[in-house]
Amino acid sequence: MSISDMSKPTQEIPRGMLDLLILRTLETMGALHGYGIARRIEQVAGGDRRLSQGSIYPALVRLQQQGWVRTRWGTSETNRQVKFYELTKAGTKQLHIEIAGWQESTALVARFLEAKP
Amino acid sequence: MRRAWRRLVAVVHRDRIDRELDEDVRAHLELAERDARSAGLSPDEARRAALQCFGPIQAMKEAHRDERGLPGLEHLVRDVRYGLRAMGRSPRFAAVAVCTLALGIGANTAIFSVVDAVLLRPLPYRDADRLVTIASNTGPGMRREAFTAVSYPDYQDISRLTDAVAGAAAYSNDRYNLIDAGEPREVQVTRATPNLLSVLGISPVVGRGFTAGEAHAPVAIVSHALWLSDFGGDMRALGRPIFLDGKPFTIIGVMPGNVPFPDASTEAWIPIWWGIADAPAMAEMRLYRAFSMVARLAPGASLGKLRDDLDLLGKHITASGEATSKFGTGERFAATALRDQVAGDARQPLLILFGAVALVLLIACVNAANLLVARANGRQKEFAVRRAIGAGRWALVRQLLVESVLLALAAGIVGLLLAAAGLDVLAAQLPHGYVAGIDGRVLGFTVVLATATGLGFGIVPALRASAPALDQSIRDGAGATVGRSHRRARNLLIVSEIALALVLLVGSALLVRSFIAVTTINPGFNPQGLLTARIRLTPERYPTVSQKRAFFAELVQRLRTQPGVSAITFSDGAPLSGRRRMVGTNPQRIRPEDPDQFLAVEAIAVGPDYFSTMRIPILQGRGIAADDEREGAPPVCVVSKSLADRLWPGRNPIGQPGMGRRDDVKVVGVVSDVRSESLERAGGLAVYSPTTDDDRAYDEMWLVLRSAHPLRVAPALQAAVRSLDATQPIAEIATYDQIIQQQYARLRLITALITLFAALALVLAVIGIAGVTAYAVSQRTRELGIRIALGARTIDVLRLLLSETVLLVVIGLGIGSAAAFGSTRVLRSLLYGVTSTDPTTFGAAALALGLVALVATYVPARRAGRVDPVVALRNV
Repeated sequence: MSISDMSKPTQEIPRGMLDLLILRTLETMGALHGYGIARRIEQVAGGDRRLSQGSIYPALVRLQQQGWVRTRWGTSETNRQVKFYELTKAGTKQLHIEIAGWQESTALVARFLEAKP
Repeated sequence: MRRAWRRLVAVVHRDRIDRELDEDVRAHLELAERDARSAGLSPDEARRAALQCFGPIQAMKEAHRDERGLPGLEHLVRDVRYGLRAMGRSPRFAAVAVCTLALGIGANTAIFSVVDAVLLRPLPYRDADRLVTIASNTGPGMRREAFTAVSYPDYQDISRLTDAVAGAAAYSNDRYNLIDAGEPREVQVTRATPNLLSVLGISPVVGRGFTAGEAHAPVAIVSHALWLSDFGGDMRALGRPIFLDGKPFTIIGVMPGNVPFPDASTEAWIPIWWGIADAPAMAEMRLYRAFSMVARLAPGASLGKLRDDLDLLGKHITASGEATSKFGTGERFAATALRDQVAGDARQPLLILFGAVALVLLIACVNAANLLVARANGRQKEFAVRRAIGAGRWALVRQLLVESVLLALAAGIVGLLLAAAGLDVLAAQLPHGYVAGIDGRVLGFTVVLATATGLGFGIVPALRASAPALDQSIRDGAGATVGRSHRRARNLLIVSEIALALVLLVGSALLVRSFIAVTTINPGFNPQGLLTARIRLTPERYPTVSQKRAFFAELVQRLRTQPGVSAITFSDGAPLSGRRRMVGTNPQRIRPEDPDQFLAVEAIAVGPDYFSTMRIPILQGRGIAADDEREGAPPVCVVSKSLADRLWPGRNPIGQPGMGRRDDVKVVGVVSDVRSESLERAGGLAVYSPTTDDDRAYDEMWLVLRSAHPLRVAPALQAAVRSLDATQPIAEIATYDQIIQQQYARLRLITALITLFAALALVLAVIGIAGVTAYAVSQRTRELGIRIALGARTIDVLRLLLSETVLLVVIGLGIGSAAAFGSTRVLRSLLYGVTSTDPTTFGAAALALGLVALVATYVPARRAGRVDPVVALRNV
């Protein structure tokens, strides 16, 4: 219902996928603040899929409560105290489980799509 | 699990987490804005771009909260807060709704606590629902309805039905004079087989139960109450004696405090055969019926199985031709669950009261629902706004239900206070030994009832109010006329309130008529100014009849000269005292064409002046005189009118051979019938004889004296007994007015309660109907204004409004009459002198309710007739 909704229909990133993207981002980039995570996902995803940047915060709190991500205080580029998010050990393990699961299911779907009658 | 805990923590720390999230968002936007500016945008454009990329902040915060916390709980908390605020905005509405519902809920709570105490709470025995009582029916053709005591051989036969019975005990109730250091008093004692405690599944709190070898031993188990009052709860009471009729019984145990077996007034338990000289013979006589029985069902056996086995046993005994009573052979058994036996007569009145309070609550709910509908109409704009900013229909319904449940819970609290106050009155009327009060169970009931009530009366208004008709409500608030659906709801309300109230009014009117009829019954004697005292002489101190006679003769002699005593007599029975001695006779011996071979007649041994003291009219011949007590006097009897009519119809009974111990007894008089069993039951067959003609007289006697101030004579009576024998207690002393009031105490209580509930229903219905009419008038001000502007007179407007209501009231009365017709039959056993479908009562109740409903409509409607059309049309 906000203005952005009306200007251009965007496809929201599914919840499970967003978790995977955040975990992967934190693994490759190390500790990041929220804006950093959002920017990184946008960059890697390219312009075709638009992220409501705010939607990473509910995902982050979910990951935190599951014990996969933890926070610490740091200083932003604008010289402000902000939360930095980083992967925990459990988070790293979870990321690898999810990557394996993801690859398995994409491979499965791919085989079906390639299958000839 | 860990996540659930963290969610809970997040709910508790919601303010801090929200603050931190705000920080994150602010930092995020700042960074985004900086990047956008460095890409060449103006500060304004940069800010807008940052916000756009971020997406809707409020929605994100909601998602954040839902993700981390417990969304259901938080919504509930928010709804409750909102509801409380909404209530605070209209305190008058809240107060009216709470008071209305509190009356309904309070009445239900009070009655429930009694129902719970008497009917629902388990009896204090192990697996109490496996316990049954067994009674027997003998007599010619076994046509007598009453099942009574069993014999010892019956008990032994039933104990051997091991497929159905896991254990059975026999017992009988007895009264003894407890004579020790204190004031002598009569106590109720139960003689029981030694296994009674194990059958009930209880054990003494102190000491032990009977052993199998103690069936004849002078040992006693005492009640907790007696242990406290006579021994101060001292452990050393064990082994000490209590003196029953002056005989020592060694105390071997103390019962737990809550054992009301066979009833709560029992103070001691002794072995079944103690002191009975011919016990071995009695134990083998099938016709010696002196025992009650309690049995425990065998594991896996049902009550039906026991009944089948008992039927077989009965047939077997009947077939054997063994005498089962003085009147012949044949026997039949009946088994009843102990719980039903104990609750007995209290069950039906309690269920009736429960039904009545349920009706009151329904009326209260209808009223509350109507209040909610009216208020929801006033809040249409608020709902429309909430919907416009994104609240779904479910969110609105939930919000409204939370509000109605809040109202009901508040009403529940007020209702509990009302119930607690009312219970003080009710508890005194409970069967002996029951305790009703507000406890955890009652509290739980109230909470569940209040919640259900809140949902029940809230659901329809909530669904209606949340129905999407929002453009209209936003635009014009109050419509020119009332919508059809609201009018339908209003009609339904008036009809149902009238119908529900009528059911209660009819019930109440029937009971009031019965009560008036019962209190104006002529019992056949004049109870005013009569004082009675029941005296059971201690047999050990007065072993012979002549000693007993001498005691009573002396007592009467001393009291006769007492100032204030105008007449005095004695007898071995007293009407309405609950104790009657029945003898069986064969009427065909006197009147061969009589259809029956067996007639139960009440036999009363009376002293001289009995009929004049009681003021029982002598219809023919004379009463029993002092001369009849002389030794060698010819044996005489006096019969009641109905007995004379039965035995000698159309003939003069005087001089006929009558009924008595001796065959040469002659009838010397006929007296009018006395209602002896109960006030409601018309007078009985009775035969009166002199006390000298009956060996069994004098065991227990009623002294009856007449005085202008009977209570003032009571101390003189007590003093006279004490001066004759300081160890002799008076078992009961009461005026006859008290005895008679006891007779209808229960009817009076039920009548008072049902009438109270009917009055509540009437008041609630009047409030409801008046409120609904007033609201309808206020909604239709514009329409009425137009009518008046077009020339309608006040009377026309009134007629318009009243005619609508009259139709509804008539429909409601019709439905209510039908419902009452179907339901008042439950009152039948309580009614006297009026049938449960008495047309006069129905008509009067309907007429009264109809008039009240019309007044309730007229008063607010009259205001409509005075509507100023100019004001009405301008103000909409």
